[in-house]
Amino acid sequence: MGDGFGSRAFRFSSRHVVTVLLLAPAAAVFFGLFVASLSFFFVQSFWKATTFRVVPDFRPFNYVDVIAGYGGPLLRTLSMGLIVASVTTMTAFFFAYVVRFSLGRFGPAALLVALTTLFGGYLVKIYAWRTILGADGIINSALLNLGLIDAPLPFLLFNLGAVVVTLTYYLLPLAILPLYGALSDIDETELAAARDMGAGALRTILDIVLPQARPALMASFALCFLLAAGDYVTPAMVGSPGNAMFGNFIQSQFGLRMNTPSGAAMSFTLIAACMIVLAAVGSGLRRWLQPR
Amino acid sequence: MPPDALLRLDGVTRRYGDHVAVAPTDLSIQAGDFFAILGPSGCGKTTLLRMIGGFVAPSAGTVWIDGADVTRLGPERRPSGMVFQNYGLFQHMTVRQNIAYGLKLRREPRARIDAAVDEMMDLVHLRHLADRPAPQLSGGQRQRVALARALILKPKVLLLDEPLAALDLKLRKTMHGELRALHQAIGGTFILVSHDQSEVMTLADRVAVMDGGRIVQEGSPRDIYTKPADAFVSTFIGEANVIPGIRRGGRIDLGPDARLDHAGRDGPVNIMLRPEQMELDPPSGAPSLEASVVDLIFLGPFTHLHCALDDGVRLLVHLESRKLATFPAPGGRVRLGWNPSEQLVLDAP
Amino acid sequence: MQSPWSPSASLSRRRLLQGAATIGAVSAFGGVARPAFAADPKRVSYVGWEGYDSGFHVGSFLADNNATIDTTYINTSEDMTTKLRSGGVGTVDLTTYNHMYNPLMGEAGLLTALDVKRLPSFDKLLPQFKKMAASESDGTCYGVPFTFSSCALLYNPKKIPVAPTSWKDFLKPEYKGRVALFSDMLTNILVWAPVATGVKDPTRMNKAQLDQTIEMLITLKKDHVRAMPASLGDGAELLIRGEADMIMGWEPMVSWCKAKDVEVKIAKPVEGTWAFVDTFNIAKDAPNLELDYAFVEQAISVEAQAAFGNANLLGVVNADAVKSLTPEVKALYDFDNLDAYFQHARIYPRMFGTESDGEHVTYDEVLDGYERFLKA
Repeated sequence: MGDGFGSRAFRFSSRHVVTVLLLAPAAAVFFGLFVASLSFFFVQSFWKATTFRVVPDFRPFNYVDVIAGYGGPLLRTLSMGLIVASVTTMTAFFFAYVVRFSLGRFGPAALLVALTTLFGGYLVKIYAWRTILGADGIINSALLNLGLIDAPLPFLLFNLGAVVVTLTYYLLPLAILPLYGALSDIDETELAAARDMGAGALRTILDIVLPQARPALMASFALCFLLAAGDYVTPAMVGSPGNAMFGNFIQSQFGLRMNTPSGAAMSFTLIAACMIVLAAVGSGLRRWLQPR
Repeated sequence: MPPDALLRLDGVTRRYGDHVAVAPTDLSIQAGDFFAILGPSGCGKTTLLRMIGGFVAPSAGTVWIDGADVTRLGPERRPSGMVFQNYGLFQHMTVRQNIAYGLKLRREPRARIDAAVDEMMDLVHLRHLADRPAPQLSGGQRQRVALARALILKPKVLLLDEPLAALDLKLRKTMHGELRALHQAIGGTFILVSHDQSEVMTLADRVAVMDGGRIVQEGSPRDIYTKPADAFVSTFIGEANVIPGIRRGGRIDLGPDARLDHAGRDGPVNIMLRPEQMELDPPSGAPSLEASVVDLIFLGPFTHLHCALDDGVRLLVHLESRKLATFPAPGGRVRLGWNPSEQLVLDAP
Repeated sequence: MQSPWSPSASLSRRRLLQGAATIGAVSAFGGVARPAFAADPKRVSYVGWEGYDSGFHVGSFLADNNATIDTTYINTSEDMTTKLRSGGVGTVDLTTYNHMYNPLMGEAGLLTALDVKRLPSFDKLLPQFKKMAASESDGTCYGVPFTFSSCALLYNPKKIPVAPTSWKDFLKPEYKGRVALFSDMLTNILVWAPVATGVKDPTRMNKAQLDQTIEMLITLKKDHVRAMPASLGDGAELLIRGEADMIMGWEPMVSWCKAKDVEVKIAKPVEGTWAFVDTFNIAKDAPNLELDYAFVEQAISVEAQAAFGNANLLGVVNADAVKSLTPEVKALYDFDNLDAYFQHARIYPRMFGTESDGEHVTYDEVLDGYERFLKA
């Protein structure tokens, strides 16, 4: 009895050691790089910047200044993130839905095609979309050749629509994966049962599929939102001219102005704003998709 | 075909490319029937049921339910309810939410939904599990939720697709009783698809046997058991001994010392006998065959005797243990006979 | 090579994935954590633009001096300042500031005052650059000019038949949606301030002039501009693809476009433009001072200058190197009449002040103004 207990305790502790060892690299990276650097900047976000020099201080007003000075770009950035994340998550959901429930044995092939868009660099994709949407791009050339337009349509590029299209294309495969995983776990019979009980296709998606895919919806949405809200390259390259994102101003604080406290305060403001948005979206989704 | 049939299929067919899953089929089922479609896997019985439920569109033919052509309607617009083989409970809902879902879709008042759900949970003995999430239910409980969920909508036809296949034997027997009781209590029309002949015998009052995409025989369980239309039906429904022979000029030759008179065209035939229709040491004059004993299994009231004819044909005989003076020993020779009035002679294909 | 276009190089995927919040962390930590090898007398630490170090690999220079070079490439001029401020003084040898920063950085104690007599090639510099090096910061030289170019008004003659004569042509209704600005702060301010206010030296403008400049930039952005290219290549692409017919450009773009069969011409707007002059500096307390002089000498030597100018289509400062330039490069920078070039492309003596003198705008005020433009 005593031996048995002892060996069980030993087994438990050796498994414990293995777990700790397996987690160690990730924990080291997380605490060493992420937590440590963020803590450093969090402390700095209360400091004071003078010309090319940073002085320890306690200035919560740094945050007030950020909201007062950069509220507009912050809202613009968050709205763009929301639009991109919503469009991408919805598109990804319908794609994953069709792959899972409608395409049958062609589904995996379609999924593979979608995932091949992961290949190719980020900038390459932006340039690809500039080529497609541009004045001498594929769309305009086709319309010109068909005689539908006399001059290239200028409104395809350099506006919010182009940003949404480009970022959606870039983020789509990343959003599809968790959603497809979640839909794979849903039994098709549930869909058939819902229809049998009188639910149309849309009702079935709303009542049966979406609630069960909610964690994945949230994961995809958060991924897209954070990447889109943190991006300032795509807006600079295909968006409205000079419509700077919040990230541009953060970059300018760190780079041009060497004002680390302000840059750090802006970074944490953005992080907090993103968390608030995601929490709101999460609770909204939860409420909306709750079985009644 | 009686005009007042609740469900009628006219030439309903389903093809997948060149493959015919269901050959043109006519069927009519009366209100109040507990109808079973029986057949081996791949015979087309589930496809037929799904065409009745609206989940598979027929390639040809018409489905009538209660006098209305529903061929083009999806399942959500048919007055039928389905219980699926693996239940398809909504995993994110509780028992109560699962059962209430259909009524909520119909936007019934909350109070009426609650009352109906309570009543339905009582009927299937689930009241104590009302708020348990679906993933935490046992197989039998899931089965009951699936039934309640379909029945609460008072379907004109309840379709049951191998509903008990996933349950263990003991639970299956319990559910057999509950299903019969439900059918009697509700008085609805049930259509059951199954590959388990004993289940069908227990539950159904009418049976259609399917093979190779077509209905080969339809009737009461008793008719089908006692008068199978062909060797397939006879072996699929219950156990049967099939003894090949050759008919020439009104006599069937079964072996060196076994002949019997039977009118019909010349050619090969099969004589079909249930195990309980054969006996040991028959009275003289009765047709009989000599066989060697392969095995003997004592089962209390009955003893099963496995024998083989000299040409290798296997025979199974069910004997009442109390009528056996001595038990034949494996390896020994026995004479097996039968009453010609019980035999079924089928022309071999 | 694109100091005034600093945002271009920073647009990397790596940065995007790290998200806005960690952008600063990367540059600051990178600066601090990078090991310094300056203790080894033969290792010269270079912190500057990518490509500007190519001259050191011309001939057998490194072998002759028994030296190797440790390079840290920068994304913006400010990266050099960050590096020097965070422990770089004493470990960094060479930097490549735009000449306007030199007085500021020298006076802040980040750069070594240079003794140009120790540079044999200094005498061969074109007079403009010799004068510049000698005159900045009350005669103290903190950087030796190395290359130049300017923000040129480029246009597509097929789309715009008459050469533009003023930057104000950007505001003409017929060119609405066919012009492009820079996405660089300094270039936009220094080019458009004279246009908006007539100020001669925009680094010495007052608050009202800054506001006028910002207003004009906002008007341009809101009503006239098709795009603000994120990099130099991006700007050229706008011309090549026909997205824009007239842009704030850069001389090498003429050749880039020509390589894609698109003819682009340089216009000479009456308001002039801003000349970019980049220099080589020796950092304060540089660990290899003797060797560093040899490196700067090499950078302005005839061979290195000619190779650099031809390879990058950029202006050179060594008068003897001009002879070895291709006709294409010579034409781009009007080497036959360099005085005219610099009359048009202006060299401003120093950066905006960091502290207010009560009259002129400070660097911070300019940044604030530019952010107002970005937010609009």
